[in-house]
Amino acid sequence: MEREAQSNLDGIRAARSDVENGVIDDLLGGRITRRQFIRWGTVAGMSMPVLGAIIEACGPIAGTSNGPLKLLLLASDTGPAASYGPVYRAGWNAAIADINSNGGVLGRQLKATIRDDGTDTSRAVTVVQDEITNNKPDYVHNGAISSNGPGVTPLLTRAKIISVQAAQNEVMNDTLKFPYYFSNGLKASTYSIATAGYLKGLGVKTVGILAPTDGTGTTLILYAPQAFKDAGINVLDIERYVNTDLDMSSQLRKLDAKNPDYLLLSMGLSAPAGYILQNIDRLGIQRPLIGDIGTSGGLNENATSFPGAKSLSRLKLVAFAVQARGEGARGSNAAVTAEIPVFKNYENGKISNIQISTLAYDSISIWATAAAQAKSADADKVKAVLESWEATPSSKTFLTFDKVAFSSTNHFTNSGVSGIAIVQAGTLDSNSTRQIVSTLT
Amino acid sequence: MSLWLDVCFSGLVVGSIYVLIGHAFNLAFLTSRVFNFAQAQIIAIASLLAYSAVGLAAGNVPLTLALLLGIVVATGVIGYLQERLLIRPTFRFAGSEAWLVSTLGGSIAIQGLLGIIWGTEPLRVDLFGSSRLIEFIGIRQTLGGIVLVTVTLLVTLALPLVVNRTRAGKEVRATAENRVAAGLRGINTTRLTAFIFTAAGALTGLTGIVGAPIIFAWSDSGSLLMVKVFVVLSIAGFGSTSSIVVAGFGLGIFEAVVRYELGGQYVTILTFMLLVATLLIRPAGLFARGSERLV
Repeated sequence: MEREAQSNLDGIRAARSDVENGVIDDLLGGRITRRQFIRWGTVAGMSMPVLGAIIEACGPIAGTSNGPLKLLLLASDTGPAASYGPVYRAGWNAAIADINSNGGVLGRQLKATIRDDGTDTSRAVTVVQDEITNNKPDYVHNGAISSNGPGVTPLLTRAKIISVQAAQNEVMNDTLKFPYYFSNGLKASTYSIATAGYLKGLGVKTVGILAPTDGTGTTLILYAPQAFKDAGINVLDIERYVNTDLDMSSQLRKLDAKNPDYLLLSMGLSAPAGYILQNIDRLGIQRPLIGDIGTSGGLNENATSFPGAKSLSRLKLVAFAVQARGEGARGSNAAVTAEIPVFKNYENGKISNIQISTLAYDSISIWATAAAQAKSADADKVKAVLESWEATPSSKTFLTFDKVAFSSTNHFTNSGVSGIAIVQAGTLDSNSTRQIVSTLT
Repeated sequence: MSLWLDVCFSGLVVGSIYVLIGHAFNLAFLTSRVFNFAQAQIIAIASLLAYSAVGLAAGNVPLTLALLLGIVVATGVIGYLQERLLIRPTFRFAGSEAWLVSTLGGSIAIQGLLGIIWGTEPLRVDLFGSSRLIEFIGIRQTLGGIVLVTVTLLVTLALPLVVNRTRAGKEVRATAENRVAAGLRGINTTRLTAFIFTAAGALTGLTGIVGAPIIFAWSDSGSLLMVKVFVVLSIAGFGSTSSIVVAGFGLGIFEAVVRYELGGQYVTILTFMLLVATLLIRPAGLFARGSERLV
């Protein structure tokens, strides 16, 4: 049907002047309404039967019938995750600016409505319900907090709206229950697989793990043992600590006594990282160390508690490759702004945790790419394209993970470990660049 | 054996912080019957000022010492101001617990201010080579840890002397016993309370300085330690220096042993079970003699 309509339209356009085709382009691009098209087309000299034929031909061509495509983006501008608000906005705004400057999607510009969810899922649900009722979006970003996934997605499923966000909670990877929900974040298990793969490459046979009792540590403990087992690495011991502890030397003594080849540390971003390294120095533990993805959360930020710790030189960190490039120079994102010039407009190119911005950027970019391939913003058609990417990868590459792949049974990107890097912790080298020890493939 | 000594000494170092802050809170409480939540923030203030002082002095030992002494004095003044601004005005509302709101609010405000000035990331403080390692009888500890334990013991020994043998100490005891009666006997309890809050502020400041190499200079450290101190004082009961020492050191060692024997995930659970058990068995505090407990 669409092909037939396109053929009819091509036939009409062939007989029209440049001025008349310009007006037709404006209609196709969503820059003018049908009413304006009739008025302008008449002025341009087109007869009513011709105008009617054009409108009829344009009608079935998906994505050309209305104005801008509408995006609803939930930003945590207030509440506990308020610091993430500007970081997400930077990524979203950069993506929208890039896409719009390149002609938009299906010739239509993107128009975003950014609303504060207050880091509160119940408020997010109210906001989404309000927008669906009064200003139905074509795409929704569920925001920063993971609980927004199960909270908001049922509404989006009923309304048939695609949402793409970076999530790790694999409960959301239920393609029957949440058919329009996609995650461009890696599965939590992938980070453990990456760590195990790197250590296996070094010939490591045994590890000991120190992890907090919070969600980050619990997730690590959930996936790391299996990943290490699959890589032929024996986990000798797992010790836990509470984030309010001032001393972790007891746990470190126990781990060291098991004589592992490597110590895997999950240290978060704040004081515990400093306490753990201080304890390692005090106990004289000389083993090589590797920090998990949570430890590298803010490569430049948490370094303040590290300097002076001797063990820092033996600490490698599992990090996002884009983060390692972006935060290479302290406080700036030179490498990333070279890739996405529009990032320069935000905080003078200084964005902490650059990977959060790039994931936000990618979430819109992924949806826009799929919509363009589907030649439609219709949720079912976009979903079908996204689900085909595992079998037929999209030619488009993305910022955080080059390759993004989904299937009908997996809506969490199957990007493998590409996009993850192992970086040297600690002070920057003389070129103010972060030393990337290994980029995983 | 040396392993156990080392585990216990690690607990002793952390326990020292609990003991010192416990003494300071106890001192302030005795004359005012107020648990000053904002007092915990003085630890963060002192440690952050110590961080800045070390940077400012740039290795000049006399200047560093002078600056650290100045910080102790300054934190004493902050203690006085807390009493004057957050607590004394609430005494006008007899029987109310307005001090709870005012000191908690003050605590949150100070923490926020510190975060704005110094940032929210922990800052490493090295005072006179405090990270240097010292080994003795199988114990491997930093110089900072040993100094912290030593200062705690000295303060613990000095406090009873001050309270029992000085006029001010006797006035504190009398006021703690019965504030109204002390006033009737000619003790200016208002002035005494202000003086004690100043002393308690200075003691908290000293804790922040000697504890900084261990717990770092950090805007959140006050709130973090406040919970621990509340546990210590709940176990010890207010009023007794010796019970605070036993509860503080005991909690530090208990935590270290639980971490080593059972795992870090059991520390919080067992600590609060210990607290509940103490409240059931010794409701008036560890060494109290049947009087009504205050927390």
